[in-house]
Amino acid sequence: MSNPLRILKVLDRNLNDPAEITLFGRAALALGYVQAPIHFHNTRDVDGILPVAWLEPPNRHEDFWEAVQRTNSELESDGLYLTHLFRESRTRCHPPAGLDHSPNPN
Amino acid sequence: MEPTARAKTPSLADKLGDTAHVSALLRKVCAMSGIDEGRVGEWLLKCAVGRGATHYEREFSDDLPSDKPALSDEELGVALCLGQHDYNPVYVRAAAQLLSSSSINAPRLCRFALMERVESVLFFIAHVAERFAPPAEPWRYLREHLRPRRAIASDALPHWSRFVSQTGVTPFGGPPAIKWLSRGQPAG
Repeated sequence: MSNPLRILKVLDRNLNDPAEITLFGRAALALGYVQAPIHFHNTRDVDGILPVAWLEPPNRHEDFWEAVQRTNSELESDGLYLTHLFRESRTRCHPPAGLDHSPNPN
Repeated sequence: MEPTARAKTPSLADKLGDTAHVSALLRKVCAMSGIDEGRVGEWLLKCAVGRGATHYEREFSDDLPSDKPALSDEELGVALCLGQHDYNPVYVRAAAQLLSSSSINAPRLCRFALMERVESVLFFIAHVAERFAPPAEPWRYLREHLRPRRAIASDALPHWSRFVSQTGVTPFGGPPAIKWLSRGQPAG
């Protein structure tokens, strides 16, 4: 199975409440674009962007952070993780060169 | 007249030219200590000193809670190197001494470093250690298994002389003895 897909499935299983996360980086390309290089599915982590408003106050969404912690514990033996999460105000993303900018509808 | 607002202290990430992430480890240490992000670095330093980073012994504020055994040494070392802290090279130096121990689980340290985006800092320490204590673990392991994610402004990190102890005078007029600072005996 694709590593990013596996990480997100484990996260999803560990979540009790809905959470919003915008993917970027190799995991996003692997899952969003059929023409992404196959080795992008071997990436060991999923990078995400969290909405600024969603992050305040800091003690909100404990369920999400506990789910992240459980996900990382569960995936430790396989070297997979989900920790590179950024505030949307700290990121600037450009579409990758050479890829059609329309995400995979599937 | 309005007082001039104090400029915000730059973070380690700012100094390194890096972007700080929303750290799950930082959330964990804040939750377990009950201290906010702005001060939690001092608590981490206190814990590191208590666990053997003896070179950085000092008076700590009375309101800092005691160490929490649930925080592993590897997590503590990585947490001290997080880019989110206000810039304080002592945190990085204390992490180096704390982690300079054969009791450290090098593969776990490597994983935490990657997860928490401090691999450049630990890689830098590992290369300084190579000069003064080449076989010392976990640094040898990190040199083999960690790669910096990106080039950093390494002049923001402590000079090599801050990771070692040096004697000014040695017997028979020899050069100063330079010794890598390994972890000392934990307090208590």
